[in-house]
Amino acid sequence: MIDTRNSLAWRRFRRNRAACLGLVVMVGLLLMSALAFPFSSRWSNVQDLQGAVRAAPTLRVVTPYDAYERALPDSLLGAGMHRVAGLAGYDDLGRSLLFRLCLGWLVSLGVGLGAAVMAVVIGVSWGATAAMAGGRVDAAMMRIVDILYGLPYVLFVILLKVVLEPPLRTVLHGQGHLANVIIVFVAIGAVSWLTMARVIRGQVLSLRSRPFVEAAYASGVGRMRVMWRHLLPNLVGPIAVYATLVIPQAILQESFLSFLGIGVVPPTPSLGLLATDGVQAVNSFVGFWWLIAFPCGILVLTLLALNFIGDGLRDALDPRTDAVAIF
Amino acid sequence: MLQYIINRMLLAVPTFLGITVVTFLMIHLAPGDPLRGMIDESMPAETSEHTYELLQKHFGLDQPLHVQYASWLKRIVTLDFGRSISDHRPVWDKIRERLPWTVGVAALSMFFGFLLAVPIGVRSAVRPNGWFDSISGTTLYALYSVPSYVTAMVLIVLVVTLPIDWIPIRGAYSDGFDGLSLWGKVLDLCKHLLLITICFTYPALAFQSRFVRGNLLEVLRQDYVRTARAKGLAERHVVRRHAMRNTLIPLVTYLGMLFPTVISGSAILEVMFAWPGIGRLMFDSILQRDYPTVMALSVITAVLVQVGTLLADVSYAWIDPRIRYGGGLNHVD
Repeated sequence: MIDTRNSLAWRRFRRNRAACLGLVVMVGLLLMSALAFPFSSRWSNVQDLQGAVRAAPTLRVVTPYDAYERALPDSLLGAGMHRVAGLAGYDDLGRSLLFRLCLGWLVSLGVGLGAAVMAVVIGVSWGATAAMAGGRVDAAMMRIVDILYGLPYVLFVILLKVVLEPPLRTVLHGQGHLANVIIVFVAIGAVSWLTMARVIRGQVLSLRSRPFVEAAYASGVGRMRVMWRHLLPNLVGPIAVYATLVIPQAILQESFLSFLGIGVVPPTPSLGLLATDGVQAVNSFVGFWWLIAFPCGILVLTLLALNFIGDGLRDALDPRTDAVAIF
Repeated sequence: MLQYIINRMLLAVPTFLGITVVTFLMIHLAPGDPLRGMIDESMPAETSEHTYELLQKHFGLDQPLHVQYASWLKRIVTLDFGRSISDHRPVWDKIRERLPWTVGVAALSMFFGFLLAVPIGVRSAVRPNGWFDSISGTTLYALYSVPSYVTAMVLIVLVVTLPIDWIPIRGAYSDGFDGLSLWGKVLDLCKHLLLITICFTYPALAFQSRFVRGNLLEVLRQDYVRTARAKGLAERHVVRRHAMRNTLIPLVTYLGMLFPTVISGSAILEVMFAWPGIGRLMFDSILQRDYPTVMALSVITAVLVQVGTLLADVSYAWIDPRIRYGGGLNHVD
């Protein structure tokens, strides 16, 4: 039963050309950055202040291999990676933009996925609990959502950073970059679940009064079991759709925060940070187009692909919303 | 109806209190404070410590937090927003002089947004999935995915590199603004508004045109539209006279939700274009830990969110007589 529904959804998804293209783009970018990860994670901060400062995109090998790392075994892949280091040009510190893009894309995607996971876990349980409990509990829980919606977001992020960063650093044994990325996860995740909670609450409220739920109650099934076995399977569609739409929103939010200087802290790259660096470079010295074109291009491409995938998923999983859906 | 409005307002009180309490705690617990920067570094340590305590006492920051919150709340009830810590001016004056800039851009972008969105939306809805619908849909969706600050960057870079000298990229008016003639002033404002309005408009345009399309499609499926067609009315007449009117209802909700965002502006675009708006005021005040200004702005936003949703719901019932809010709180949301 479930199987046929899934294959039907998959068929509908495949018919949506934009969504398929989005999927192909995302898989391609993922493969590329995953393949480059062993190198980009080590090489993204290697500077070449002699030869490569703001060097234009080139196929030529600008920085000699041993500048990158002597310790790394001389593998074929490593040699190949080294040859393409200049493909997207170099930034003001002579770092390969390609490696920084590969790593930054993974960081941004990680932030997006983290937010999606938080949205699903917190949002679904919060919304479902509120709707199932009803009455005062429901009112109180939804007021909390309203309050969180109303908070000044920038302030919230700054506070989270300040409160959570020192203890996280000690727990992670001084791994500052990791602590910082985790905080951005939490900050974005902390607001990403709000919409999900509202949507799920609405869905559960309308499902709760359906005959099949009453039948389940009547035959002596407990609340928790009704939730897990009878309601949750019916919520898979909206959950999947909203989770996919959270990812591009979170990536965008991360880039906003990084742009305002309160997101991911350099030298860890992220798409937003790379775009910001690009703007600063271009603002002061006109002509270094690759520093702004590549980060912005990849950012826009990723957002587009993810939005199209989310759109296709919505059409595939919930054909009824077809006409009302805004995008 | 009156009962409904009263209930909604009562419900808004705890939300409002919650928002202010949490914001108050957040801004006060955030490290750094607004006073350290005021003290002259060259003073001997003892004097500077003494000055610091005097300043703390002056702004009432030496008291425990709950006392500070209580006295803040007491003042806010009488609409007294206090004085800014960073420049000692009344907070309300600071907000008032920023407000027209933010609202102006928002109003302009909404105007241009709808000016373009309504024809695009209608055209796409009349022939759903036709060539116009697919092309405009994909293009607008692509635009929607481009963050407005990326567009802002690209525009700034274009203006600087090409170079298009007559388009200013920073600020809201030129240096010698006061000396210009009326016509010169208008022209100067328009020039400064150009880029920021583009950046505000196009994401809204994408959203609004799809919004118009979706609503119109929904209405065009209704029975009364079929009746109108069956009567033999021209398609144009059916769309314009019969269908369009009923698409106004969801629009009201949309505008109600938009209301607070219009006032609070966009921090990132205002920072990029050095625009003297509310968004930048909020951002700067947070960085300077200017407690009264941050609190005032978050109160205003919180109230506007509540008022916006309430207005939307009420006018919903007013426009569409089928909607009735009875039965108290159960019908909320």
